Amino acid sequence: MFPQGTNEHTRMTRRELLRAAGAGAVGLALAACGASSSQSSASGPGKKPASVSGTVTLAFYLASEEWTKTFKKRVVEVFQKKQPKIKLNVQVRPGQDYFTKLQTQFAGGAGPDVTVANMDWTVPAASRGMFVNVKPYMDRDGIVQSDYWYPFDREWGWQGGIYAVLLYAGGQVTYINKDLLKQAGLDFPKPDWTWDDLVEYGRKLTDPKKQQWGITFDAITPPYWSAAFIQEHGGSVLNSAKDKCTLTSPEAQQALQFLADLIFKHKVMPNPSAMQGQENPFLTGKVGIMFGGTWEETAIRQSGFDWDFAHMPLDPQTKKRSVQEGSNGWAMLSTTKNKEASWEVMKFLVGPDGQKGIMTLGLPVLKDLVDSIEFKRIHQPQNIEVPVSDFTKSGHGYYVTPDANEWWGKVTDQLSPIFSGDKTVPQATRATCQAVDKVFAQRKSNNGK
Amino acid sequence: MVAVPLPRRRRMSPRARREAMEGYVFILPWLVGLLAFVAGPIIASLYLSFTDYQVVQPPTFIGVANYQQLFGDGLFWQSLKVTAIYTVVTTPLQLCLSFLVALLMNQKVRLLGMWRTIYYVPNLVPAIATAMLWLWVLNPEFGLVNTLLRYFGIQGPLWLSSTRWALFSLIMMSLWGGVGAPMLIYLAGLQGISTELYEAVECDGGGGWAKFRYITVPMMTPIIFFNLVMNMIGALQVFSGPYLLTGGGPANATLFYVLYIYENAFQFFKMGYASALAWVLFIIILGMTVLVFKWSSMWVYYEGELRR
Repeated sequence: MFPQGTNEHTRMTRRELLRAAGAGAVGLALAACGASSSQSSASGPGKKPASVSGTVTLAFYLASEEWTKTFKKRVVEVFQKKQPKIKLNVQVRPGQDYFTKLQTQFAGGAGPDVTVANMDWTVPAASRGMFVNVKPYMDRDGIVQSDYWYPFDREWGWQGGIYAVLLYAGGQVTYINKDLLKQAGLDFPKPDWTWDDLVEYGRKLTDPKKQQWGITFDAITPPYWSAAFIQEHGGSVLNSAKDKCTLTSPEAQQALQFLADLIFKHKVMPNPSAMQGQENPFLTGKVGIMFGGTWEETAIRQSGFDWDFAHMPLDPQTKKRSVQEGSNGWAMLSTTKNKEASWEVMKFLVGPDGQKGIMTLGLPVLKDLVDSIEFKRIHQPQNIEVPVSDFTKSGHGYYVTPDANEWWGKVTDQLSPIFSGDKTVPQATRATCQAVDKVFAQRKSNNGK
Repeated sequence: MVAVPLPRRRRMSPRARREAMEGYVFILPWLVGLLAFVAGPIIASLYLSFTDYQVVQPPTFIGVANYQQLFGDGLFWQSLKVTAIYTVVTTPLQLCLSFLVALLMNQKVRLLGMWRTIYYVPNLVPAIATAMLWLWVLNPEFGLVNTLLRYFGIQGPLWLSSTRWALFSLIMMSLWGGVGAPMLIYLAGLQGISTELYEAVECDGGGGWAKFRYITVPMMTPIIFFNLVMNMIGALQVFSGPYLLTGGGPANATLFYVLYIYENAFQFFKMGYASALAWVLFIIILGMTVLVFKWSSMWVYYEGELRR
């Protein structure tokens, strides 16, 4: 879901198949001559930071064309000035199938040294030996959690190791079209607004004659935005051990029913399937409230109407607030022959200079930066403190497991009939948990071998 | 005993040798391609089907465990069911529709070239563009199909998002894109039928139906047979449409067999299992093709040969 990410189970991104296939072929050819090796391989870091001897060229992969220019200017150039001995050969591999290409390159011994990392596949691949555990490097060089507001291990931790350093955080944001609010004579939602208020806003903002809707979600099924509603209502997607699906609990089912009711009972939200292949209706000013991602801010900023961030509405019963958040990271491939040099780059990226460089692209994870006036100024006149407050106080991470790549897709697939009206919530959640628990059972049986 | 001298092998002339050499050079790229990119992976996949191969780790031999696992895998059966329904429905429909269109395109009407182009163009549209086009056509809110249905007071379904209609939507899409190629082959066949045969029917007092029934259809059976085999194999291997439009959903309603292979190979780190799935599909395709070939002796007529 994140802009550098490649999970996107949405149908729109499938369009990139052919482009990705072409890029993959070129990528294989480029990667074959991309990486150089002038350092010896080491299984882990030494006790003291090692200096890079000689000049090293690192193959460094990104997945997003959109922000590569900014990234090169604000991050790569700064790094090259600080570390002239480590040359970064930045290569962009856009497309849905980024990880498909990465894993096949890795299998062929031709992968990059450092890659942008996505929550969907990093832990699953790390558990199979694809990425280097960077925790010993972090400990050695004093990268400490207390300097960061976002947990290091939330999406990148597995069995005590950390397999990527944070690039930036992001997640669910409540966007409000203030122009539509004004037209409907509504005040901006208060910080303690609830699901009941959300329905009321939805009703007043929906106008079928104008094809105008009150509410929309850009990705409704878990692990995306409906997970926040489930968690507010006291439910969860998985149990705390992350080895059992809990969507059949009354709390989870009630929250999902609330979301289905927005479509079928209250009629304040378009059916998600009607949005397939369409431009985001919030961007065209046809929706009052959108539960979207932080990365959509740039496009919304260009839309021309007045808008702002609102807090995630509270569950009226539990009075709890939860927002779904996540992160992107940087991971080192275990095939690299330049571990120290690769770590130097990763250390820079997660450090103050690297984080400052990506500040216009996402939420920096350093406490000092996310609270800085400079960061707030980038988002003005909108109030970025609202989502930052939701993230830091009520953020909920993704349910990352070594088989997340497999069961996430099943959750999306099996729950979607709720929102097309084909299945009731109990039917769909039962089918979902059966499919998910089967994946976990297979994991247990494999571990037992 | 009289020794019978063995016939002496005639030596090739320098010119013949050079021509043979040139021939080999011309086919070399295809031979190398076949060996390196087709035969190699095929053999490798056979070996991998007997291993636990997670792509990012070296394969480990596990015998026939992958094949045993298939039988207990509900999604394997579901993907087989979806693919079978699709094949059984689309193959005859495509064959009949394309034959019908070819008959129309074989008439002497104005702007014939334009009509032929119109019917063939969908074949030239890349899968990605076709998918986008159908995403629009089948959009429940703004799509062409539901807009038309609304004129008749019918509320159209959610097509691609509905467990009941998603597979039907893909079948509909396949008819749009799958008629052009067989139509062109039919057309070539139709134009190869001798007019004398039709004249003979006329002499016997036969009309249009008799010409079609007793001349066109029998003479076209080799072409029908060819299209049947090609369309059947194509339907069993369908991938891009469901991958791009539904991702196998909703609730596995469009989980096609090849899509399931892809998911296992590249998303679930189960390349060994995916290889086993691929080999099972190969055996299914081989078996069905052999059956169709056997069946063809009952209805395919080759001009100049005795009816087999």
